[in-house]
Amino acid sequence: MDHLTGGLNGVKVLRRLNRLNRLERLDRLQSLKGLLLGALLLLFALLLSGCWDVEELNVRELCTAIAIDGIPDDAEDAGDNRIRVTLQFPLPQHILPPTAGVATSHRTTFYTVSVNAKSVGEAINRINDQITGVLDTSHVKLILLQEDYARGGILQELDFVTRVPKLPRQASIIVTRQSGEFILSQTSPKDLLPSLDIFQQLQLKSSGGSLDVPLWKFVKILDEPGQDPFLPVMEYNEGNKTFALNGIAVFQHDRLVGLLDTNQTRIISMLDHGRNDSGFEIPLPGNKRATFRRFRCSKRIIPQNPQGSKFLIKVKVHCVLSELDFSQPNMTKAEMEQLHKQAARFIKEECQRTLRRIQKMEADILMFGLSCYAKYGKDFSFGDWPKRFSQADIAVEVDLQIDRSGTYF
Amino acid sequence: MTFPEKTTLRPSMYFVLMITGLLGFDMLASPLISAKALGNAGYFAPLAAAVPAVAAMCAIFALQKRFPGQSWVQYSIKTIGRIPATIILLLLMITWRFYTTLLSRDIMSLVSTHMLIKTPTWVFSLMGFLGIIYLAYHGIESISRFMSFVFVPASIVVFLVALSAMPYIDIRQLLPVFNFSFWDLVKGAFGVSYIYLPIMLLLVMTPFTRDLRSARRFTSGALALGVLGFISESLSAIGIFGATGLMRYTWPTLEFVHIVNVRYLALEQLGVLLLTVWLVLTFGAAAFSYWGASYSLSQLFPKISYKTAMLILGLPTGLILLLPRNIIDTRYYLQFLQKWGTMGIYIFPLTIWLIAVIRGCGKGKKRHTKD
Repeated sequence: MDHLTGGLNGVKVLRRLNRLNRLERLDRLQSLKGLLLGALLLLFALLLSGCWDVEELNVRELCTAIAIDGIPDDAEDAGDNRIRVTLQFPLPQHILPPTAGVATSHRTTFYTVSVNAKSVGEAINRINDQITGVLDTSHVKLILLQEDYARGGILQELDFVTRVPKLPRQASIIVTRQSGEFILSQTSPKDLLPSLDIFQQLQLKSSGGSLDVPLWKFVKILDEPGQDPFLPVMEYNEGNKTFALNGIAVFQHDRLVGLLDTNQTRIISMLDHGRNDSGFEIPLPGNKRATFRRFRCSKRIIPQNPQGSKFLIKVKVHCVLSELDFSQPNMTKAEMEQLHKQAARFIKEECQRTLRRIQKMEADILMFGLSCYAKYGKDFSFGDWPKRFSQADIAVEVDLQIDRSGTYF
Repeated sequence: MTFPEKTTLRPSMYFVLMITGLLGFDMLASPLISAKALGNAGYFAPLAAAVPAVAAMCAIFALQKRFPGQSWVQYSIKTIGRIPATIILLLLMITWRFYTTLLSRDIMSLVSTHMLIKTPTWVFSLMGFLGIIYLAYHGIESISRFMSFVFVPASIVVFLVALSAMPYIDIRQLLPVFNFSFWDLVKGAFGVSYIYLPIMLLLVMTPFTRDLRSARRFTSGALALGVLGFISESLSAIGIFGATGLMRYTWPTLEFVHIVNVRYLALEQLGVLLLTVWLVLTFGAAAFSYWGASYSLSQLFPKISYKTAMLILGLPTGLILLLPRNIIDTRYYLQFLQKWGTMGIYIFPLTIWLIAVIRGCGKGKKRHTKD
């Protein structure tokens, strides 16, 4: 019996030992699983970042600007092509500062490639075939549209903007008086890339005599009913070798319909951007002049009826007196009040003149239609809005405050 | 009180799981659906769509109170009978899996266009799929641990990024506020209701807590925060791009984040940051959803263990994830489901609760008998 019991106990012990072995094996399996999982993750990391999407920096051709010029129908080599697209690429090895002991040389810091094509997409593909590296659009700072080409409508060519995910939405878009190909082949006195020079200028002088318009905003306005965009205008000054920003180009939907000069642009800058950093010279009675700077502005467009035929714009302006061209260090309270009135009248007249000009172009760049829709909803219709806008009666009220006079008046 | 679940969830975990579930699914595309439904007043759509979601949430907690410690499968069978319950639950699970997998497929296409451009979609789809299965395999404990870990930093980034877009809003594009009819609002609620679908996972979760009152409070908090998040997203997207301009983008939230210009700090990288963070939330939400479906299947057919149920669901999920050939296939079915397919799911808990009340099933019946 004992022998039997002892036998059974032995079986139990054996079973227990087996179980222990199994547990030990399970433990080992667990650690093996951890290792396998780690290896798998490592493999995925290598596969995903290393094999397919790897792009060394020196094989990338970083495009910094895209210029779109129109091809005249009667051009000899035009064929079916409608546009000429130019891409600018920096040469980083020529831009980087020279290392010690190595002499500097005046080599070009960039190169451009131009092709004729039916669309921007086709042009980009063709240029990609011509360059040695891989085309990278993630550093585009500037898109240039030639004036004559923009007059024919640009909607079709800008479709690529929202379909290329890497294209920066904050890139600036401008209209050029000369061809984009010409502009992008010029150099600036600062020896910067033309695209970076223009971009920097636009960023620093985003309000006043010219206005910066980011790409996303321009495309967004093109999509919305009853809204018209505008773009800064630029031309290359061959005498000074500078890129001069000069006014804005007004579009009716996607067609350029006219240009506004610097003074009119300052008014648009005040009404649209809420500021004008380049100031105004205001004529005073007796052939005198006062110069003001740092204009800060808030405006309210108040539609008067759901037809959109009558509007009132209330404009509040704050500015700083920076110069009087007549010797009068101390002004009386009455003189100062008179100056306020004269400045307010000038701003009002300039506003009215600029508004009449954009009405004549049938381009609602200040979004009167949107203001009317915001107030009256479905009672307002965008049907035939450009025509109706051009005939609308727009009254302007200006409340101007001179914040500082520079001296104790 | 019998409590069959070995694991219990703290009520605060309801907040974490629900908010991650809500934000993890289709957060980037929702303003598009809102604007399609209600135009410039699209920001009302997430609010209107929350009404059936809140009703469904209340019904789920009421059912759990009525049937303490029982799973939704058990009380559905008790209320409407075994065969109808099995058919309805199976249909619900199939719809749920189909929808969430298509959504995952769509998200994979986003990764393909914005991050890993040259890598074939199937590679990272497979990687994501295996990761989700691994996370779900270890049950709700592992999922809740993962989500607690990522929830705070991820949610902060998502909300901060959404807020940073506010200065770009043109208020006129959001006006007039009440520019819709009642039927437009109903249509908007139908269209956008899909964003609250993760709330249905409460059906599977509620047996995991003893403190139903606190759990309901935390879930309501998560839902309220989710509604706020969806409304602020719609406000930002419509305010920046306008109701018509928005239609250009498949992922409007990502697009408006791209235009945010934080100079010298994170210029051009804010979009990638949001996408990365959101994908982590999506990963957690997908594992949570996969766990819910597998757990329900194992409860519906008790002979199938949870892990077997996971493997069974793995095959159709993998096929749907990897088979659609192009964006048309994915979007066509997804848009159909987003438009019509989700309201029916909310009706389910409400109907079961109503039948249980009418027939006096559950705790209410016992009390009635005692009286």
